[in-house]
Amino acid sequence: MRRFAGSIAAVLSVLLLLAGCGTKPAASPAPASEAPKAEAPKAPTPVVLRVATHWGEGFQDKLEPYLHEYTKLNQHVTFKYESVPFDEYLKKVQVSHTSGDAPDIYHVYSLWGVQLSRSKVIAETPPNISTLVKDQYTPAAVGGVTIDGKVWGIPTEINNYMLIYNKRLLKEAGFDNPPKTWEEVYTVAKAVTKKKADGSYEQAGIAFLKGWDSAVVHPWMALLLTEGGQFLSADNQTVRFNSAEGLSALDFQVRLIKEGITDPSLNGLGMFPTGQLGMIIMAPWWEDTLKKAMGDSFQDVGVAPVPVGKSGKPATVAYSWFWGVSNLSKNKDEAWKFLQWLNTAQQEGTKGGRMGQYLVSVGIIPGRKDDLEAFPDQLNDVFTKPFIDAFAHTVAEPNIPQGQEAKTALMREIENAWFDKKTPAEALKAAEEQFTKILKEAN
Amino acid sequence: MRRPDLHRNQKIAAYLFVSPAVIFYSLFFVFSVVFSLYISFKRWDMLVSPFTEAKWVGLENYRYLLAEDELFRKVMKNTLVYAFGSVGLAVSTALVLAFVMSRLKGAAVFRTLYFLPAVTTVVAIANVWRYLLDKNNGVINALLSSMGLPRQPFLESPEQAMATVLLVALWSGMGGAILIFSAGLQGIPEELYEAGRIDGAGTLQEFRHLTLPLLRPTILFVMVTSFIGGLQAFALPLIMTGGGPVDSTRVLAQYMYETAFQNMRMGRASAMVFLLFVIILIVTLIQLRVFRRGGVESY
Repeated sequence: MRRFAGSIAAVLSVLLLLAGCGTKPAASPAPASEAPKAEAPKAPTPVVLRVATHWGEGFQDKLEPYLHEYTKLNQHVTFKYESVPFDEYLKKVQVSHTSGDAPDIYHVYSLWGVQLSRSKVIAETPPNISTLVKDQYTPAAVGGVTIDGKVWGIPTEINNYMLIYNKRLLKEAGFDNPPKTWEEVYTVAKAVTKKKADGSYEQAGIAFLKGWDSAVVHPWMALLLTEGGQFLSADNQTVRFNSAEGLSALDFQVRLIKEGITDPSLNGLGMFPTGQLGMIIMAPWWEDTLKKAMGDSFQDVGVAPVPVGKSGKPATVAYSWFWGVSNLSKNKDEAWKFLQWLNTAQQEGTKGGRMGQYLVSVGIIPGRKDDLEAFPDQLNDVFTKPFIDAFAHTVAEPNIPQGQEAKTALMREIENAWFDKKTPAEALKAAEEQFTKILKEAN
Repeated sequence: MRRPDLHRNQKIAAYLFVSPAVIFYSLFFVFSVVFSLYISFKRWDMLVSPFTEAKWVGLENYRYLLAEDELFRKVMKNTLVYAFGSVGLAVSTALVLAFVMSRLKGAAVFRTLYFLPAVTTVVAIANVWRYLLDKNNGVINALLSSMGLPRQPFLESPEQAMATVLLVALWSGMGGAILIFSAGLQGIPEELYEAGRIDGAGTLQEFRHLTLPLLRPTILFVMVTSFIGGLQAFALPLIMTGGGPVDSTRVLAQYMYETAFQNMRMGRASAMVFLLFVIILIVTLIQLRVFRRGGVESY
């Protein structure tokens, strides 16, 4: 034991000796004959900005050139791009924030915005950014990024819903134009639907999206709005969708299912590109997928407003995303500076921004007004232009706390009605109860 | 006088050798369980501090799940149906097959064939069966149709989906049970069967009066582990149906996951964990009590 202690003492002594030898010599005073030199400006501290989005293959390689361009102009800033699948993105935000290892810049789905802002996951926007957003973005885009009266980021994509239809199938069934009203949808869908002898669908007139909450809820919301209904009250505190209009919208879907014109089992996203589906209510980001899957047959694709119900007025719903900066970021100023550069005009005298250019290149509609004018070739095509024209009567999905949970509860009840587990009235009543409970608890 | 020092030193050395495992276990299991229990009494969204900012709600999470959450009750029922169904089917089928194969030449080939799904990734199994069972374009419905039988919705029907998933679970999980039962059967002395035959016992009587009692410990092991696995099922139903249609195949593990990471209610999800733990404990204790006697040694 004594020998061991002695060895430890010897090692420590050597270490202390080495530490002592390593000290810097005292600075020698400057010679009296030299004039004091002016201090050179300090080089900016190198910064690595971590950017996390749900844009992966096919999108990432189109966005990254702008990051490289920024680095060329601001050499102290480099980027680390993190692509996280949409299904995993909210988990990524939760876990990275809890662990303290958060990216600097998030790409946030607006529905999560309330929770993230109230929990201080995302930082408040600086005043100049708030002004930029309010001045330069469409009302639907500004609505998507406004929470509790404040702007919390810079809008990016905005997706509303329209009726996408197969012109060839409609023409074969005797219709040169898409339906404008719900009754016309019924007539057209019935005529287009063909079944085989064993009852399976050879082609279907219409299909409703399923599989995730937005897929089920958003098209139904679009129908609710065209019927003249409201989703929530203006202050987002009271449920309004359990109304005559809401019931009418759900009854319409259930009627199509009960009469065999459509079926909840149909995979609309798979059937439409293969020319087996007449109509579907879908968002504009699908354009790129359809072009790749359909090839020359893409010319059969048409886009029309969501057919109107009793109100006779066109309407549709939109959801959006925005850039937010993490509250844990040590580089907030640099992050906002980069985002401002990305989202303003590329050159003086021009309108288009880099973010707008990226979004249109991947078939996504930007929320910035000047971007909508700056890229006519991409945005004025027969697929995208109707979506943009519909912004005039697009209602943004409301930003509410526990929004994902509430929307999932509504999805469940809509599906209960589709599968005849509940009547539409029972389903909407149950949805209202759950929605109200969630809103009350969260507020 | 050296002997006590040597014994003490050996004890110290032994503790040092096991300490990495104990530390690892304490950090990743004991701490996690205790923390999870603590969180089950709070309302926590994982975005704020669980200690200083998450709201203390006491037994509210448990009360909500047991008294108010209709979906939890439905999911609990689905989970119990899945667990009892998969265990009941898997154990009985595997036992019969293992017994039959023990009487066959070339049993190793059959055991290999039955075991192959067990070594296949569950993601591949779930996806392949999903396509085979598709209502409109699946191979199985095409076969039914060609035989003049009506097409079946399978995974698209709330009434058929759970049974369909159970059958796939049976197919994929049976191999492991067959292997264990085969090993157990080999431990039963052949003389007992010879003695039985001399007394005039047929195959069925051999199975009932010899095989079953002597195989009790093995059956207990397979049942306990299968139940625990069944109650914690996640990947197969998730990939085959996503929990639908209309929550007919949503099991507790999936609901827990969604509650924690989509609904951002970690406290409520933690409460579900402990309710599941209590159920697993009760089921396991019942099985241990029922099967406590048996086996070759006790006869």
